[in-house]
Amino acid sequence: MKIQIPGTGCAKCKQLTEHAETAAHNLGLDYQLEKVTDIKDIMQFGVMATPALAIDGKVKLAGRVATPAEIQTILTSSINS
Amino acid sequence: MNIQPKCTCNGGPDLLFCCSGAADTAEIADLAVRQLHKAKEAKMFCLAGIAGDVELIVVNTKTANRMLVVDGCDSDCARKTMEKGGFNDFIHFRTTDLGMEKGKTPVSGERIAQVAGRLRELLKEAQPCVEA
Repeated sequence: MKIQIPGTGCAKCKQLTEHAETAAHNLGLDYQLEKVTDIKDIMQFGVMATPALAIDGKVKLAGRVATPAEIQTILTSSINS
Repeated sequence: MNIQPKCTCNGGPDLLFCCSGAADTAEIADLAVRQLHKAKEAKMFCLAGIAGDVELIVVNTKTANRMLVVDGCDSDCARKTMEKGGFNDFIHFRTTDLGMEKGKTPVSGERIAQVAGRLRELLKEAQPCVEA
């Protein structure tokens, strides 16, 4: 599973990255995490606000820091879909 | 979608949704909303994306700092679409609130400007709808 965090590197981006790692770790997932910080690359995701969370290229959340529990729910539904 | 994202450390975007319906009062609403969009005072966003449950549109809508939903008559199609999509925290406005009568209000620059002015006022008065 590929987890991407589009964001310019602010405190919220870092926090979302940490929460995503925690969530993936808690679920015991085999994952790759990528922080996407280049604005041109961020724009490819089509998000209007950062930080964002994309799973296997699909944007699942944007503009806020989700809790690890919420990200676990997102990850689980992505696995099942 | 090719848009410059905004870091939410400074708040999310202000979004405008419009019924963009067939009636004259809806056309005025649509053109007023587009006026604000083109002036970059707020961003017009796709109501059809909410109705169609398009994931990226829904995710982006959740990032809004303020949302203004504009209808051209009291059928309130835009408001009902937003509510059906799970969005309730927005300001709602009808062009008919300004005394414009559906079917009897020819589109004019003056009327578009009148509605655009009211939308600007409403955006200024509005409180942010999500925590930045």
